[in-house]
Amino acid sequence: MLLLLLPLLPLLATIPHLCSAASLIISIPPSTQLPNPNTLPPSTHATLLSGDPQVSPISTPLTTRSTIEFHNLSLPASPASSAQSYLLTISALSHVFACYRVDIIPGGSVDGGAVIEGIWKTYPGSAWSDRGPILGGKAAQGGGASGRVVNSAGSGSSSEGPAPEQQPGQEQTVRIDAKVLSRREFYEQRAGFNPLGLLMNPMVLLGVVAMGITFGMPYLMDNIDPDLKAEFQEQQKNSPLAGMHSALQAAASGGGGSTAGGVGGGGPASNFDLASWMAGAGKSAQGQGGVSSSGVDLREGAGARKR
Amino acid sequence: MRLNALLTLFLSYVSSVHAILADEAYHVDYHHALLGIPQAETTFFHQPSSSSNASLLYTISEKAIIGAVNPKDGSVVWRQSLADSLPEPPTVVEDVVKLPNEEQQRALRGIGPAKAGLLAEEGSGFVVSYYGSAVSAWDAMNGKLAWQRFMPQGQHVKSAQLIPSGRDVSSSSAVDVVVLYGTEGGTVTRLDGSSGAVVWEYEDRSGASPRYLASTKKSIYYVSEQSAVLAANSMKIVSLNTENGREDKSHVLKTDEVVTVSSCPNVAFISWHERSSRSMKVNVLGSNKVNTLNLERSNEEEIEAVSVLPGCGDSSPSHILVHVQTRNGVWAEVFDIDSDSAEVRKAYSLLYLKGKGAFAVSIVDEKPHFTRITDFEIELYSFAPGIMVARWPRNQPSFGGPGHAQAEVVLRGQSNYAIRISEVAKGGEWTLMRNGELVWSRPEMLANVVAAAWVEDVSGEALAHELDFEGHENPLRAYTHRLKRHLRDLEYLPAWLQQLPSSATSGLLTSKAETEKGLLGHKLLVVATSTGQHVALDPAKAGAIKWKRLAQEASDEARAVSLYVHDGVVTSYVNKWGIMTINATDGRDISFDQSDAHFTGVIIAPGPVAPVAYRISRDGQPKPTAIDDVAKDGTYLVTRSASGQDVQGWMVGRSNIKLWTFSSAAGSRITNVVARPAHDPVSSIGKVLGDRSVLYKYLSPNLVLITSAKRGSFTIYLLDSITGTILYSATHEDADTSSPIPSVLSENWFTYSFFGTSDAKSPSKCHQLVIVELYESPIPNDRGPLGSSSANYSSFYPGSITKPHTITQSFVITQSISHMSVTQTAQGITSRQLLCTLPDLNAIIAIPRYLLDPRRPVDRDPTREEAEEGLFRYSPVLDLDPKFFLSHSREVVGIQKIISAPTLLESTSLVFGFGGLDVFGTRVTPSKAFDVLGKGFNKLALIGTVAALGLGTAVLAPMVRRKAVERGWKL
Repeated sequence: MLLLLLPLLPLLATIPHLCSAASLIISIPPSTQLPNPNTLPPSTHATLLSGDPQVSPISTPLTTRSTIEFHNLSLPASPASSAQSYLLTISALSHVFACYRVDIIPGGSVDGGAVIEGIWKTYPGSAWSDRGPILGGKAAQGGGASGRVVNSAGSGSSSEGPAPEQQPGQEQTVRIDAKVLSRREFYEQRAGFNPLGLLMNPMVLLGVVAMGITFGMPYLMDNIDPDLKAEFQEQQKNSPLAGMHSALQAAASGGGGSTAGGVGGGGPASNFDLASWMAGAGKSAQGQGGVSSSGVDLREGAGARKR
Repeated sequence: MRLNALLTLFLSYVSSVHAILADEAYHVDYHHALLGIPQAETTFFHQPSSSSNASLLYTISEKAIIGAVNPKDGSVVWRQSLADSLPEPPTVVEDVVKLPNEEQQRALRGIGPAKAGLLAEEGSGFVVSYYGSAVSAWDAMNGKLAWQRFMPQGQHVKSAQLIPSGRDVSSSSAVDVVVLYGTEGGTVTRLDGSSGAVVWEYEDRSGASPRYLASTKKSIYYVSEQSAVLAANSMKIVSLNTENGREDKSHVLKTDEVVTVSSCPNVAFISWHERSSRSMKVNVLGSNKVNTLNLERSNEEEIEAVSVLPGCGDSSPSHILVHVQTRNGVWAEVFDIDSDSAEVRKAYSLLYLKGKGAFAVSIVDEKPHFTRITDFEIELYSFAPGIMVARWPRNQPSFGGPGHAQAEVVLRGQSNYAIRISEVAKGGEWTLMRNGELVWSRPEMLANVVAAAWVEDVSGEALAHELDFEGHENPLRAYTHRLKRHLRDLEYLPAWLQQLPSSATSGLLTSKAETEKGLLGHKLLVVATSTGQHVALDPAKAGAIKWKRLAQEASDEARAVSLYVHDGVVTSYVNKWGIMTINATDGRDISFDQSDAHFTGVIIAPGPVAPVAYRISRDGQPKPTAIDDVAKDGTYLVTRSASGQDVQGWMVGRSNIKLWTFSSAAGSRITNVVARPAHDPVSSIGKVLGDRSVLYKYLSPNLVLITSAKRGSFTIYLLDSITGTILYSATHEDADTSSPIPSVLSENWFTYSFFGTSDAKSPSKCHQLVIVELYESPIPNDRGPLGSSSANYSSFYPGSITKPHTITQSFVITQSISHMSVTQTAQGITSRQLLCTLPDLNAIIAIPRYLLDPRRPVDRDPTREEAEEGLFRYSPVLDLDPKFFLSHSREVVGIQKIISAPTLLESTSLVFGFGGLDVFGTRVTPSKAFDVLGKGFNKLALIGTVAALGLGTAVLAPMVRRKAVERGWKL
């Protein structure tokens, strides 16, 4: 019997320091923001921060398998804390990752083993107790949560087991998927010189329209049919807009602008009432106007509007 | 003042989120991505993949950074910090004050300093490093972790070796790792090369302290030092079976002080010698025979150092090159090892040469070749005949003499040798030479920068002096002086005329860096390293080194404390060494003063003639550099004792009087003391509110911000530095005080950041950033006690101290901040940015000040007046927009300090970060570049527009004239 146990001796000697410990494996799956996780820089790492000055932060870098692995998670030796709650942050310069809360409680064994109680998503600024659905850990075992929990109890009988999970005691391995929130965009493109953009400027557009009218209209007028031209001119005389136009012209040429009617000499301006036109009186107001000067009419119209 | 206020108001609106422009990134900023000074044993050329012949340079530096460098251009392919992932015991504040107890001290001695090692095997695809308690395998190409294993109970790894795994290569790794760890009685563990799993363990229970591990193809040798009580300096060598770790045989050797153990595929040997001994003893591990090697030369110089370089070919025999360094020269002896008879025979010696030199061993066609590198040439010796087969002259000597070197030799044809040499100079510069030609050099000494200062270009000041002279002389003399000056200037006229056309055309087509430099000011950066070196960097030329100075005979403990620049002279204060002055333009020594060289800090105070330096002793007492060279009367200093127990206020001058002492509470320690920057102009004394009333800022030049931390909580105190009155204090419970609590004080506000819980009812673990603004009174248009009493106000009268009205807001940030600083501009009109180091992202970020306005309305939208002020709704989470990142996609590692300097342009501020590893510099425009035309200004478009307008006028003018004439005829 003793002889049989001999090959186990070196293994037994390791038991005190290979007590039950927990492993947390964070894998980074491909996502729309990060189609190829292999492109993450080697400086990508995850940190477990407790906020307790006696518990040092635990940090571990990205592996070649696009995972971040915490092995042998254990509780600090300080007797005061029976359980520890960590903030898990994943830092990569190129991408922003979600934050998680990781609770570690003492394991079943007497000598300070540890078990991951649960992993939840957490949000910066929200209360620590406000947590999302459980992603993995011991508490997730009962309910069918999304996290996969692997509990492998090594029997300790085979001395040649090379796999690290097959150590004596209980090894808990919790796997979660890290969520990429966004990609960091550092740069701003300089707005270069854009001739089309310059042309789309309203001032330039106004100028172009004005130029078109100045140069295009006389040319158009010269080229159209003489009958049509006459008709158009007639229409122009009758149209209220034309009336306003000539009224203003008349007022301008009238110097002090006392009575436009006197100077205009019965032009189309004399029978246009701007104020009433603006007030929406239309043709009827024009008919009433009679011989009154447009200046007076303006005042009257204003008065009417007041009333 | 009013104009300034208006401008400030205007600029605060201008400043919106603005990012680094894609065409400015990598042009306005510069970055030296460093590794630290590479160590001799852990630096080598290695082919990362078996498919290609290209090799990379791998190293572990003295900063425990593992990295790969491309030998073609010297760029870093990847790097990782070995110390980062170590589960270090937390530094609790109380323990820092109190000395560790007896038991802890013994434990510390036993563990010893962490030792780093790097192993690589061709074709394995990974490199294995050990440091502290961790053994890690890294992908050789991209630097990602393959596996990592921590030794139990944090025991340090002493040594490690790679051995052939003997398994099927296709399914697993071709090599396994054998690790030796432990303090009293070592443990040898064989780890699977593909997973890091334990294959077997051998434990030594004798209590001897483990020292070395060596391996050959056949067996593993474990070397332990017997306890001193039994037998001093005796080494027990145990050979272990590679398959199962069983002990095969063992023998004990009596050795001397300096022991070296080397491994080759077919032989491993241990060599030892006394310091400055003329002989050396070698034992081939596995045999009892001790060979004595003579290091005699006719010249009777004392031997200073002996180092052993193994030359292992796969074929027998192997060779040893013993590099012997004397005071004036260097030579080497080459020995053969016969692995069968365990005998070591002298083959030949390489000539004694005066001066310093380095040797490297490289294998060409299974035969070792030896390279000797001196300041002038590179000599290659082939083993077989022991003659020089090639030599190349060097085009420039190494900085401070050759330190150690690695060579990669290629033989083309019969005798056509090509050589690549990676050399680490004693001055810390890492260079690569191809056939003697310098290919690249990396300034690794910049990884140790501890102090930096800006140097104004003084070339323009000569003219200023002359003009000053002309202004103060009588008109006739001034006129003749001026005439002479102009005549002297005439000699530059032809050259100026010659380059006029070229400068005109080049200025038209591109915005030249030279004009930019003229606008920003000709500034140099002088940095001092912890080893006493001084280097000048040119920010305008992408941080290129302008000059470098090596400290002569500086002791290892020497540590630069402070740099001060005045009138083109750099004064460097190096603790435990002395005070040296250097010419800032060329780096030449001016003077060196070694008297009373023990101080923890230096304060520069205004003196009657020139500024005066005060050295601060460990207990916080200021001492003038010279007895009669004292500051102006009425100069006040604030000092901190080295123990962190108290902060003292002093009045210095003809006599030094301690005015007040601020002692930290029991169990707590002062971790940080900051004052307003020396150059901190304020453009407006008040803040104009939306209703045109003014909130007056509490502006005092005598403010000191003190952080006092104990376990789990810290307190921030704002002190008046003249009376020592506490103006404001705030305590944060449940904060992580083991991580840094950075703070910064400027104008009328200060900020600090920490990791902790935000409030007691619903704790949240998050990083927080707190901003506090100080005002004279909570009521607008009211200056509080200052306004009512009178214009006579004195801070000396204790009753006159008015406490500021403070407005505070705190924000949650998603990243930790390890250091804070603030941008500085010439007039302070430009809005400020908070510069922070994000250690987790290896980035430097500039947070605009308007985001951190504590007057942002909480839980409601801003009123119209508040919106007019630029305030917007408070949100507890402050998003660190990627657009704020000054270091954009660069990875700037280990920045511990950021300094900022104004330029000639009000809009622009220069920024430089240094301290831990990298150095990084850039320039920032917090309110956009409002006073300079940037790259966005298109000269061609402007000229084109003017030309088009001219053309239009030329076309339209005749038309308009014709029309006018026609109109004239119509009337």
